[in-house]
Amino acid sequence: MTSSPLGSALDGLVKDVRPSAGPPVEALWAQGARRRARTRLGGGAAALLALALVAFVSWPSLSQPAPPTTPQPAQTVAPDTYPSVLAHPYFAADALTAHRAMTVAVLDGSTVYTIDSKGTAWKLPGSWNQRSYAALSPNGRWLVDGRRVYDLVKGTSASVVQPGAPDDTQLWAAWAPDSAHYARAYEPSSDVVVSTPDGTQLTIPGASALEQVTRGSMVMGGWLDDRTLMVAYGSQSEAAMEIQTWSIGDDSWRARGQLTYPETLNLTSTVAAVSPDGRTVAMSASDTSRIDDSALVTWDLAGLLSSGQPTPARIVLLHSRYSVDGITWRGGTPLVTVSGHTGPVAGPPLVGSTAGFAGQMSWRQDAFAGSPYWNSAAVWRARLVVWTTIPLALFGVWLLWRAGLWVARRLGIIDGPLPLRFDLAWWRR
Amino acid sequence: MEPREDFEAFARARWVPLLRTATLLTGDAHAAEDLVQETLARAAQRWSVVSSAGSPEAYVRRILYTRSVDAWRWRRHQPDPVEVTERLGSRSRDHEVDADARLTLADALARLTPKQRAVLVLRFYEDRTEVEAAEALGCSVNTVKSQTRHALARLRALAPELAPTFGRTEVRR
Repeated sequence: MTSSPLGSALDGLVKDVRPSAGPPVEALWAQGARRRARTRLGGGAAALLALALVAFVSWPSLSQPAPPTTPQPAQTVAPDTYPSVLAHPYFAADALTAHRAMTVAVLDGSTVYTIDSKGTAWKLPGSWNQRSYAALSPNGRWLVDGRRVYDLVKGTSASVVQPGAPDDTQLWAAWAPDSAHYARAYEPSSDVVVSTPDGTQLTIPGASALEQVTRGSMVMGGWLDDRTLMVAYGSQSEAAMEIQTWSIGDDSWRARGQLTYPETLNLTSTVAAVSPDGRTVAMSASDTSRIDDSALVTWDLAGLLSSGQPTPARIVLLHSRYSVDGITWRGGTPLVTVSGHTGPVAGPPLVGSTAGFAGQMSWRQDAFAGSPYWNSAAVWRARLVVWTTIPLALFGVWLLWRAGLWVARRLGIIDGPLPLRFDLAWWRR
Repeated sequence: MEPREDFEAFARARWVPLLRTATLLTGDAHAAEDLVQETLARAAQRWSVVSSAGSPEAYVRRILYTRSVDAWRWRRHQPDPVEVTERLGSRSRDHEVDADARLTLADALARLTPKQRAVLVLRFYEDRTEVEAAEALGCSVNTVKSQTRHALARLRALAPELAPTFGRTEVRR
């Protein structure tokens, strides 16, 4: 067998090797057959498991309640639960097929998700960059995103009236407490449009008169009651906002006084909310005297409206470098959304979220009237998607690789059995 | 011929040669028998593929070498070099090769890494080319070259009295 000195030496070492008995061929064949069966069984089980996993995380109906076959009336009763965790619905069904009032809307990038009181999520159809907001009505039935208004109970949608200025951008939308009207604001025209969910646009006095007395930079807005809209404009003095109100049917705005704040505050106009009782207004801000410190600023609106005297701000530093993504109310207490977590400014959050699920959040008015609800199916779906994406992708690549080799061997492109393992040496040969 | 009969005929015919190779790879008769049985069981598991390749021998030897290098159990059960010396060296004291040289060689082989041992067995016992050895081990030709060079250098260091056996001519093969 060998011709070299080392070869001869090696041959000499084993030349006299004699097995004590012959090969147990029957046992070896049986062992091979058992392994063959186990491999096939294991491969089949792994494939089935992978399929089940993919189906579980990607087929919404497997973990979501079936929608009612007939449209439901508007849900006016407060939900008895709210989701304790918002789970990212990577493969959510169309929100217009849910036919139910929702608890919260999440604007994640340019995609809007709606989530019901038990943490089940749906995705709003369409995805475009112009979505500046996704405002859920206080009763959870309607949602307006700047282009369309959606009736989540009936499963319909309609375009909203756009203002005249073509270069206007959308600032914010605010719903009246009874969900019967919503206001949308635009800049730089400072236009305010008030509509009903069925598309009727109300006649509202123009903002030009306001601009004569203000700097013309609209900051925020909200409803003091079902018929009274409030807007805040940046004042000519740097650290104050002029408050104007307009009631449905009136032919002019009323100047109501000033809200003041420290010059070190940089207010975030798109994250603001008036309390359901109309007595308090809250805004997100950053404190420029500190590095990366967000703040929640509140003003006593009731005091301002009754006295007309400038009202100072109450400031609560959040000690967070993340900005506030939403403000809602529980009774008279503001709740803030930061990095996907919603809760009071002090104390643990009421609602958490799975990894990577964050964005502007808009809650229905009575969202927190009930008790927390843990939707384990939704949470596990989100976790499994994160945990299994890479392994499933690798498994898929491996399956394709093996299938390709099998086909290539069948077609005679390559000869011999499949390699014992994947390696570059085999590939390069 | 039925696959089972085909396999059994192959196993009976190649049992002894495989056992000799496995003995060099493991340095222990019992471990060698375990390794060959494991190899043949794996071959039986995929016998339809192995036999259709036309050269079952090559495929089975690839399993043998791959298992000897990769499988943790063979490495974990690496025998004590002294024990190896006794087993391999004492088996053929009456052979024409000097018994002392055989003991020294067995001891030196046992002190190599499994991959170095496999490379030496492929290159010098089975007289395979570097390309064939690389294919059998599932590694690159450069790896075979470097492993051969390191193995021979280590053998020369471990057994300087056998230097002519591990001479530089071996490296250039």
